[in-house]
Amino acid sequence: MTPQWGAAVNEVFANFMMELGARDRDVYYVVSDGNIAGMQEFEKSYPDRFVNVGIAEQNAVSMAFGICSTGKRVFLWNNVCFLLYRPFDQIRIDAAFTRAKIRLIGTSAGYTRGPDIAQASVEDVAVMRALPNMTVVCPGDLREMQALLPQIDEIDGPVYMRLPKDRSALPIIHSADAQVTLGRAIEIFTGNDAVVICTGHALEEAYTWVSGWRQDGIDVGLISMHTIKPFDQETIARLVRSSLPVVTIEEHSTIGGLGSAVAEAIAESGRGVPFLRVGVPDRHPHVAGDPHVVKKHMGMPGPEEVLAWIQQS
Amino acid sequence: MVEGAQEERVVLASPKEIRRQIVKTIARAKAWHLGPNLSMVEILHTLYERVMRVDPARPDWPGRDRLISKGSAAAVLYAVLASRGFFPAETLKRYNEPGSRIVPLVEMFTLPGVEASTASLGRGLSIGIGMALAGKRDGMPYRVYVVVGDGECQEGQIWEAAMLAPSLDLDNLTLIVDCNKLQGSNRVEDLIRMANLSERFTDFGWHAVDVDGHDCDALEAALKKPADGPKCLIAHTVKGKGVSIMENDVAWHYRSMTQAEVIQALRELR
Repeated sequence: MTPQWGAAVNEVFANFMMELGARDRDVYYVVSDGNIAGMQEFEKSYPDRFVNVGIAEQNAVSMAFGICSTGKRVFLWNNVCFLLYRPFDQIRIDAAFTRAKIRLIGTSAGYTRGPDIAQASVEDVAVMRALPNMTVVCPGDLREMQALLPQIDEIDGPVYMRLPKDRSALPIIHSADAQVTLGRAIEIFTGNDAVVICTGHALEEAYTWVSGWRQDGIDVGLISMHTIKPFDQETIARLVRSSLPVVTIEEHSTIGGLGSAVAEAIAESGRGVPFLRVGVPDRHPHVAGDPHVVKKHMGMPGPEEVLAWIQQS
Repeated sequence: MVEGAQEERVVLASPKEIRRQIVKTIARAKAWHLGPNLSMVEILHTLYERVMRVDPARPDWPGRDRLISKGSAAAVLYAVLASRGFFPAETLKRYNEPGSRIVPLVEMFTLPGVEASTASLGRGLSIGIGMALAGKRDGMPYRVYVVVGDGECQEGQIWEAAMLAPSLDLDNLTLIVDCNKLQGSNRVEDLIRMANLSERFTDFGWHAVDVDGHDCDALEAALKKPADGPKCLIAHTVKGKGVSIMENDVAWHYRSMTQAEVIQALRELR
């Protein structure tokens, strides 16, 4: 069963920013060139709260701190690979250490923009969740993104939001009345044979796999872990008590992302469960293609392999 | 007069007294960075005594002028802030003391009046641009001053910021380069040929001027001269200024003083 598709990432964000800009003068929108689809309207409507600093990502982050120090909140929008990697020291100091209200909105996460080393971003969650004061969210569908945007803007500190490619449509997995609360995992299906936990845009694939298995009578649960930090330890502790096999799925390195966070929580529970991490292995792809091609090329387990593992666990 | 600004003329400890305080602070803490602290005494002294509008009783007053100070020179900033009344001079005895909040590099959350953490070099000007831009767009009358080292200008981010500030017409921003000609390992010029810094900033669209960084009157005049865009002072200074054994000696970026050197330095600064 595949989900329906809704609005595109940049469309959802642009709508949010326009609505926020209309009611709150303390919000700035800062970009470093790049694909500015959807932001022209904000620039036109609120030119005194928009800045395009040019291709200068380090300058953008430190400047954002300067703006925040006067009581503002700054949304920085860019592809993850440019948003975080060049200016990591600036993020470490000017966002995390200072606890500035900088909202780092990163698009084209994982391999959604391309698998080349300049555009891929599969280490971002690992480095960002290691920063004190940093909140890390990875919305997996339209509802999660729509619900989490206003919630992250309430946070008295820096936030990183990880999103897929900017002009790509978001799947609609949750119902319109689903409760999406920052820091709290969402149980989409309850299962008695195994549980899949996913984060970010891996939700669509995980949902498709799990729905298919369930139609075949295999009772696999599905959890969307849209918030990586603060991490919902309670949900993991509850799963461990059920002793079911646990699979994590993410388009991110198996080092330091969702898989690591879940593994840490399982280990700290003092009990063990069969555990499989589906994610990017510790090497570079050196291949062209969309995320499906790349993941296959990298030898990442597909639905057949994961199901075989569940059956053997 | 804007609410909270100080109308009466303030008198700070003299540059010589501030140098004595720097030597005592660093000696007690068995710390280093004497060279970069001693070179910028007159710059900070002039800013806080003659130019900047601040209210030590309300360090977070939104209308205050802001200083983003050079990251490796904490002792001088803290000495000047103490002299300006932000906290008692007694507090400086806790500089770098184990367990103390006062770390020996310029860092937020250490002492009142410190606006940013600048010891990871090259970020100060960008931070200043953010403050100046928000102030201008909010119609706030404050000015933003940023002090960086000449060696620090080797950081790429300085030039990202230098390109942007004139494009944003930030006439409320002043950059002061403490041009002491030495960096951690060497003479600046022997590593990277950086002559004519003022011409470089002029080429980038700044109102740049060379000034004697130890002449408070010259600094005051340059700082107060109106300009219709961002201003840059290349303040020519002597690293280790005021202590003969430290002047123009690259070693005093990292060296600590012996007991005898402390006594000698304080004798020269009497």
